[in-house]
Amino acid sequence: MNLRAPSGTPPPAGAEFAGKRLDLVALASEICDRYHHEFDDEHDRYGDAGAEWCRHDNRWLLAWAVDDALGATDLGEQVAWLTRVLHGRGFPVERLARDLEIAADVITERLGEGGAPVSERLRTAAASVSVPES
Amino acid sequence: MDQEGSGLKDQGKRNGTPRRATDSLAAALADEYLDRLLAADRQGADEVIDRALRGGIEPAAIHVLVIGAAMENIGRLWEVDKITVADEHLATAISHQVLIRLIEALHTAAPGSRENVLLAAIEGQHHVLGLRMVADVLEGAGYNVLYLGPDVPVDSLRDFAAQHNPVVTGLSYAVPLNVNNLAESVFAVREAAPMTRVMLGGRAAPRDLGATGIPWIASSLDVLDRVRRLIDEPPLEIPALFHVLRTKLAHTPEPVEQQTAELEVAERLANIAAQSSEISREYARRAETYRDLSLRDPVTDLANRRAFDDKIHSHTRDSAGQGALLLIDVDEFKYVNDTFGHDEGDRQLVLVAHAIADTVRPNDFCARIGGDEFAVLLPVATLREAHEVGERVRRAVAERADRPLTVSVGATPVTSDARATLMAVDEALYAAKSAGRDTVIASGLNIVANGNGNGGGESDGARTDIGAGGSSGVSKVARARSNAGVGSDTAADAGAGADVDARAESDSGESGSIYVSMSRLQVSKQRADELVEAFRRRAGLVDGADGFLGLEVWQSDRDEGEVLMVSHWQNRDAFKAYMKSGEHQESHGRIDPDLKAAIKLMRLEHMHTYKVVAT
Repeated sequence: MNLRAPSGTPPPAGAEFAGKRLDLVALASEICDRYHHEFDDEHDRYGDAGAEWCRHDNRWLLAWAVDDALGATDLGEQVAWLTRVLHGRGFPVERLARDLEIAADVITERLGEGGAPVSERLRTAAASVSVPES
Repeated sequence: MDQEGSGLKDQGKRNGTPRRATDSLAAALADEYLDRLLAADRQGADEVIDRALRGGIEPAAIHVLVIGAAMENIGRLWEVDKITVADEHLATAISHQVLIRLIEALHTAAPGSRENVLLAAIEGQHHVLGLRMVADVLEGAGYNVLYLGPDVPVDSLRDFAAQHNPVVTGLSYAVPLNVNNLAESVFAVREAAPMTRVMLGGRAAPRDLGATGIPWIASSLDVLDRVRRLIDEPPLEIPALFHVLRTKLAHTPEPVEQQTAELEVAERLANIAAQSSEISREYARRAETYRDLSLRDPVTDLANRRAFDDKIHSHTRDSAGQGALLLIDVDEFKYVNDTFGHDEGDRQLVLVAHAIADTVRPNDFCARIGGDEFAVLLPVATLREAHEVGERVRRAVAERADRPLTVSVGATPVTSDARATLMAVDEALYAAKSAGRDTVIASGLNIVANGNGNGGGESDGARTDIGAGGSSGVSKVARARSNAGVGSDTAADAGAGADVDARAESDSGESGSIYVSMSRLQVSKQRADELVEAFRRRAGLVDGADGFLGLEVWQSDRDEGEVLMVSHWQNRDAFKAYMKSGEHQESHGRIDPDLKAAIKLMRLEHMHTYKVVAT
């Protein structure tokens, strides 16, 4: 598949939550490393651009999760939108659900109890992912 | 392309959220509009909107139920990979241009002393179609909309708010990109303009916003009500939520990584598409601005002559016989310009413009149509109401002026003939000027003399002896009686004898009436002479044996000034009926005792007989 590199508005590089600065670039990279370890077929299918999209999307997902915890957005709505976009392009959305679970794990490990509001939102969002009605 | 477009549209429907369009016509037109967008058919999109207007759908509803519904489906089609980002940008650009067709229909209020409303999409936000709709609705309702468009940096927003001190600031946040910018923008405008009321809009409402009290504008349909309520209330404190959001670290994007040549080309193409769309938006906005400027008087901010000409012709064409027209002229304006200079002259013109704009109703149309001449179209007023508006304007100017400044006002009913209406109102204004200025004359008479008066009208004090000749010489068609009094319905009715057949030239049925008012200072015999003569000339009356004209001075119901009433009776019986009327006595009972003698004398000295025929 000839996938293009991410375009559009770049995702945030950082955020702050519970008094801690979150390096979203580093966190997204770690999430994607674990994700690709589980789904090692993706590089063959999507190439390097697929890895870039993974980091791109995960930075957005983390930023939205933080915003949700602050009352500034609804992560569930954003994930539902991303699910429709990915499904429309033939991406298996159950992998998005798994990606969100991995993201929740990484947040828990890096932020401890203080990151619970964010990781809980990521897990809730993971559970909500389903194939959109066509 | 049509077939493909329809297929895509259906795909969009299946994948989209339920339509908000409940009106069947709007829903059908939304489908057609979507087809036209998918076919990149700008002209076809225009035609759909024209049909929506002709179908009676309110412009703000067209925003939401036709354009908004179609654009929502455009977004859905991109989500399911049926159209490209460039297709979506093109649809947006077309819709921006189509919105221009709704501008005229949205304008329901006369410009005037309008309040500033600042609208901007915050830094990082580029989706402004909805914001543009909100701007158009507010501008149409008479607000002075300061529209800054997309991606407005926080510092720019702060500077602009400080400079213009808007009463309301609307910030758009359409995509959940950087809520920190939203919070910073809210603080910036409130720090720069502490009294500004903040409202937010766009699709990415902060989840907990509802509890803060800051309104979130869902669409152009509810913005007017929101803004009115906001203005009526003091500004809210900035909620705690925004303090929390402000503490977030700025979402600084990392530098764009170096990409392969192929990806760079793709990126460049995408940017070109986006820029094309942005240019189209800018042109659309600029076209609106230029159009607005071409129709607005730069000194007073009222509509200009061109706008007035458009308005009076469309009104006479579409609403024949409805409403009234005022023509207002500043008295001795040349003296102001020559003595105090043109800057002072402009200041006085602005004062008059504000007095007019503050006096009329929202749906009335005010314009400066010449150097010191203004016009006001009252779309639903009777002649009596038109006179009252003119009188309010006359008083407002005199009260507000910091140097002697007066206006003369003519008014006439609107007919189906714009040219005839303009000539009639010009004659009424001329009569007001001839009567000594600082005068309001509202006249619906359209009677010409047969030029064969017999010299009646002797002033011997015996009113019943004046106007001998009865009605025998008067054409039945022209059996007109002009009789009215300002602020006194009963006076107008009192003289309507059984044989009086008021001829109505306009559909308002008031063409046979004339209303006159002027300031107390002008109530003198000389003024009365001039007024009666002006009336006679205006109505084309000559002395004759078939009726007579009388001038009365009544104490106004208001605190100051008098009302001069010119009446014309076509025969003795009608006049007698008027004189015997209890209403007449009651009216005269209100006359200032100090003026009674003079008034009586004036009445007796200014009865004229005349002969009338139909026009």
